[in-house]
Amino acid sequence: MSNILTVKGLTKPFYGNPVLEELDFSIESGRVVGLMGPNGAGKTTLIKTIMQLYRADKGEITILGKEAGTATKGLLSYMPDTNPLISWMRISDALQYYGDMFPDFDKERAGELCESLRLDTGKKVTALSKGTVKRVLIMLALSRKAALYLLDEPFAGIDPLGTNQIIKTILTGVREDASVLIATHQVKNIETIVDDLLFLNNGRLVLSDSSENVREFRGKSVEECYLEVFSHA
Amino acid sequence: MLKNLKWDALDFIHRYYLFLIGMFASFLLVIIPIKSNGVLSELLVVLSAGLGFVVFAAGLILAVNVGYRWLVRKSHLLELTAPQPAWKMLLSKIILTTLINLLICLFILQMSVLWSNNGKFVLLSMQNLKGIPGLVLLLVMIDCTVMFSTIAAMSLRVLRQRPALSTGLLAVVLLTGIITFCAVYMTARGTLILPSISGQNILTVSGSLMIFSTVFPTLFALAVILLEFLVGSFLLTKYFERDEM
Amino acid sequence: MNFNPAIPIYMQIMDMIKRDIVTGALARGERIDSVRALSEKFGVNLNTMQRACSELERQNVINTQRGVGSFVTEDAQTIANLKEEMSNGMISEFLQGMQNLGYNKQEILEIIRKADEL
Repeated sequence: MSNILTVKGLTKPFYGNPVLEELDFSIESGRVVGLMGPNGAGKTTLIKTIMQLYRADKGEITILGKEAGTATKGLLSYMPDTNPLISWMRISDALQYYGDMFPDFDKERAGELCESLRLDTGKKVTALSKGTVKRVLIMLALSRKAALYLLDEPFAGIDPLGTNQIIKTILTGVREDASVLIATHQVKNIETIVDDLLFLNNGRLVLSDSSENVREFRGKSVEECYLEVFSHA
Repeated sequence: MLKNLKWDALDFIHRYYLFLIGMFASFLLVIIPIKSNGVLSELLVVLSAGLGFVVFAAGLILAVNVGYRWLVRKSHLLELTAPQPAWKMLLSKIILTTLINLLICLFILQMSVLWSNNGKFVLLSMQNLKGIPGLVLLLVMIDCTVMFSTIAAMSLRVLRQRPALSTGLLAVVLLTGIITFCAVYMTARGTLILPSISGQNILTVSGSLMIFSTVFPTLFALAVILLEFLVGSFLLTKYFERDEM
Repeated sequence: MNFNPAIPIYMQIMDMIKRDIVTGALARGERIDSVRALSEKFGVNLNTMQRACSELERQNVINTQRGVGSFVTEDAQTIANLKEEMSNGMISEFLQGMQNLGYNKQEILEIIRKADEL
């Protein structure tokens, strides 16, 4: 089992306050990883640093054995927690844009996802509700044949039906050797689908374990473990 | 890179189609033949000129925008995470801003000829067009400097904390520096010829917009653009970061 | 599928499959779905399903033939053992629960006899 992502000693201060501090972890291939922590813990910062949108002060990021650079961006598929869609576009335009910008974008898959996520490709992105925008972003991110998918708050503001659809898509739509990193507050939603846990607090990794280990050896659900870890933090 | 250019151009057209319509409207207003050569005809020419100058000014600003807005908008999250080298993104913006600047320079010159001929359709001559490359080059150099300043301001940790201020300061400093250097160099060499734009010259058929009257400023501007392109690409690849906190 | 989130999910899946085998919902020697199809059916990720299947394989509850597929064991004894294992588990749980309520063994037997007559 090879590592898709390895992070060593990653440090990034913001205005002098450490937002990421000496992070060390790996993501193996074929795993679903839950990145969890309270607001301001550094989840979005970590994902953006992996995507090279932010720059670390110290440490290294390796993707499939290669140092993070322009080429490795093609191995990562990113779903931001804010809306990056260009305002004049319709969903169909966004599909074309993605198709041009990302060589591994699968138009057929995108079509299937649009159907299962109930997306009307003729609609303008400015006319979409927040929840629908998220579904579009998930559709775009999961239509790429990447090695690692980084989803930042994919469930925020989505109804239970949509949440189920998204979970189903994550479970079935990803290649066996690809991995998914989900940053979320909704611990309950990912309770049964997440393999590995990364708990982040104030930029530090306070727990890194598999969910089944937590159940077997701590006798706790992921949610209970989260509450325990963070109420003491 | 062509794909970048395609989407950048589409983006420009979708966002600023009013500007393009304005150009077309200004052209129509002056070209519509009026039977009676009277007050109405004069009025249309004045309207066309007014609109034309507004459109020209808007065009100048929009051309600068091309180099700057894409880094500030949320869509940078998409553009910067695509597996494409920085130079492709920058080159596309430089080409687009060149095309826009070229368009508005041709527009204002052609319109000036039309206005001074009261709407009679007279096309620009080669003589008129002599000054256009120089003017476009100057404008592109300014736009590139703004784009470079934006990238540099967000690449150096010290400057990142006040990105808008840093960008503005950097752009002003660089432009002042470039123009001063150019002027000093040319004075020293005795080749300084101040641009002569007399109202008479622009508005007649024989006039032209000559800014760069010697070879040196042209080469210098090209060198500045090239340098900003190369260093900008490097900074964008390794150091650029947009602080959203 | 509702799982108890505090108990390893792969174990719960294994129990469900074992139960199906014991009750006959999954017949002896019957072919079972691929790991992927099963993971979709149970609503869990591939790794969890894979672990459950590997464990069942290790316990000889299912057999996988390369290139052909996975099948429920043909061995009646294995299934009988499963049945016994599961019933023992239920009984000790029941006894534990009743003892926690304060009943002694005599009382428990009496209660069962009465319940049976109804």
